[in-house]
Amino acid sequence: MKILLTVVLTILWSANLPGQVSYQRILNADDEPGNWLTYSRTYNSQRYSHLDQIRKDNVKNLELKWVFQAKSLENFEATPLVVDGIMYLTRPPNVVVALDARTGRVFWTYHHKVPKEVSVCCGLVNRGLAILDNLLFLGTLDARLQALDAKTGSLVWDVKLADFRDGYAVTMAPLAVKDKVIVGMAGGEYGIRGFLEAYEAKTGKKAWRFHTIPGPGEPGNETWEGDSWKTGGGSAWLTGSFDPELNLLYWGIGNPGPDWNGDLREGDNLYSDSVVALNPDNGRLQWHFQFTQHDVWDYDAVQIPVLVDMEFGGRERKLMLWGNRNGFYYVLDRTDGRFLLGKAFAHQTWAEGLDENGRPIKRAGAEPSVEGTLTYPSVQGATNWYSPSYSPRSGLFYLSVWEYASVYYKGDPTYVRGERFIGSFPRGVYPDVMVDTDPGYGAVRALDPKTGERKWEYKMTSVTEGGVLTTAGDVLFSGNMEGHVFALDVFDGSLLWSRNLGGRVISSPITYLVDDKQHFSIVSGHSLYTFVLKD
Amino acid sequence: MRLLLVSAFFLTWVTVGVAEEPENTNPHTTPEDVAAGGRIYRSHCIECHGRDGTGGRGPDITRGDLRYGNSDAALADTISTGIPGTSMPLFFFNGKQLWQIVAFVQSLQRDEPEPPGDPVAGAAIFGGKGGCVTCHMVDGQGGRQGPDLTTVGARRSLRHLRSAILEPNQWVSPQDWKIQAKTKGGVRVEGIRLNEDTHSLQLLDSKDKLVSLVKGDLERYRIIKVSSMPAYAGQLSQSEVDDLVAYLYTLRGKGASP
Repeated sequence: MKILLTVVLTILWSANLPGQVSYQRILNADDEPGNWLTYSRTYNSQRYSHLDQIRKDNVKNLELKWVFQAKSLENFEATPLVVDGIMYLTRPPNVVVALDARTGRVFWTYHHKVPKEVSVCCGLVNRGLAILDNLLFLGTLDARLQALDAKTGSLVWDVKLADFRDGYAVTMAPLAVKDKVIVGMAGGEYGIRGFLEAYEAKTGKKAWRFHTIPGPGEPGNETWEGDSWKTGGGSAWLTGSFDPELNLLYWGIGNPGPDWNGDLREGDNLYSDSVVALNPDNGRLQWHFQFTQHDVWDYDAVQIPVLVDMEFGGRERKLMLWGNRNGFYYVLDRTDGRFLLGKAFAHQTWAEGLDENGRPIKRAGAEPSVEGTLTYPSVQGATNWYSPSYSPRSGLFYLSVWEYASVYYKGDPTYVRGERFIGSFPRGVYPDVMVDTDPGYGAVRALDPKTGERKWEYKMTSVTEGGVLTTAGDVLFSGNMEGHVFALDVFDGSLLWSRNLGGRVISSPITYLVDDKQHFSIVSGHSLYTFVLKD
Repeated sequence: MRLLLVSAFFLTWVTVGVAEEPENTNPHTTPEDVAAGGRIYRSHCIECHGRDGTGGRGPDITRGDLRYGNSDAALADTISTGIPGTSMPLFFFNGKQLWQIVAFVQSLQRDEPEPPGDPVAGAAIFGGKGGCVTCHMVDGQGGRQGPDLTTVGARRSLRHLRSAILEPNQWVSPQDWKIQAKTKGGVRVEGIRLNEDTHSLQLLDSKDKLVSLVKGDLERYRIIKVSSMPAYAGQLSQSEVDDLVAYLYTLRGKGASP
């Protein structure tokens, strides 16, 4: 009896403990619009919030409430988590901060010292944390996974995932599913062989590993010439999605390496530039869909898989919506990966189109060359890692877009451990260094998810690395490289509100409640800004 | 000549405040490395710096007189980090490739050529018949409607200077673009485009006034991507052009002009 009472009390105590984030809470995150419990808010990664205090008609009344300064000049790319009024975020390079979401005042800070020798292509960045129960999970630039006590920031466990001297690193926010935390490897520019791994959240014990490049004897290894699979990249540097009904994880996989010279890796190069569907319990592959076979433009398919249930082709289907870096918008059936629709959402010159299976028909002469080949989209892609969004109220899919070309050069790659293994580098990456007479532009676009047809566009002089958030107030929040954060009408893209915060927005905004009041937070430059409606 | 070079470099160093360059020896300098660096150079650098390194849209890099340093380490740093505020991007090469490019750039270094004309006569044309000083500034004297030429001799080859005088439209960069705008109130504004974002334009107008325009207040605006400098072909004699080129070639920073 005493034992039974203890068990019952323990269960009740656990269920009511403030700040403790059970799997059930993440699973039902839609029931807690006041919190932001996982990277994309919900497992379906729609980045849509049910909060509606900030609406189309009052968003102009937003005012700054507080600012958190990151004390780092590296790119600040994190999406924070918010749990019952506590915000958890990472600042560069691998610093975790817990702060009061009401005031921005810091409770505790955890510093992970990053070795100077780490190899990362694109800055000492980190995109956020996962939380499960009372543990926060941090992937580090020296390829470690760490669990911290959410109350104190104390290190609870710490495992080495790979040797950072081989070019491995973690820049993504991990994903907590059931009793596991899942993490993947960056390093596609350093000749890694990418993988996703799951760890028991409580103990740090490894549960499974999925190699994004199959080894000898495994299906798909034949898509790599000779030993090229050993250094073929296939990184996973952004967070995946999860369908609990199908019990499938969906994860986008990065480019094959070397990036811009495919001569050493003839073949389709599976599972680079693919989405893989994995069983979260054992990491086994259920299906895959490759967007860009034998990529030579660095068109990573790491984008966030957006999971939507809707009528398509005359019946209700479980869909996956995907605006790809290669310039095409895709609709897949997420039960089996079947290709349902593909349509260009930005100017592209590398493919004649897609065939009936979604395989691109490549255009002759678009590949990198010694002299340089001008090809759309640019090396930054037609879109990239910045989160897209789907609003069930508008029924539209939203994403940030670059209309931009690069001149792709083909060089001579040589693998040297821990060094860049890329085969040249394209010119024309950012408009502020472009010398061409037409520097391109950026935009937020709304697509009809069933057809890929563009419904509207919010055009910007510069480009954007800001993710998109939509809300039940029919407001779309984002930001751009000019330093503007802005709110658009989800139905027609008209500008409702804009503020110049002066620093590039290179992360995705969030919204949450504190004291029952809707807050909106976004990073600009090296600071996180939080806005609320004027009283 | 060597003394002049050293002096010019020293003055540039003092003027722009370049930090002391670290000792660093390029580990990849074999003829094969130079050839490999040359291949990368031809694919990535040639468009701005020219096939022989004497420049185009970018500066002449053959005279050991670079603003951000000429040592192997300084070149490697410039190539791998770029130069903010200019069209020089950072390049994304591994260590060996980076050093091979440095080796190739060092192989381009040569003695300075002698200018063909008389720099003193050129200075007179610059301030007089040519009317250059109306738009261009040298050592704080002159106009602001064209690029500042105080250090142009350190950056540009003789060939480029001549071409820029005779055919200025060949060398218009985005920093030289102009804006013509008309407000909804009917006021016309024209000037050099200093900055632009989705909502506004910043310019230096024709009266040297800094102006910021909100796009929503404008009836229309357009960006002019051709040079407003007159072409001097036919306006100056061959020898006058030689003199002007010789003068511009002496402009290496404050105090370095004759």
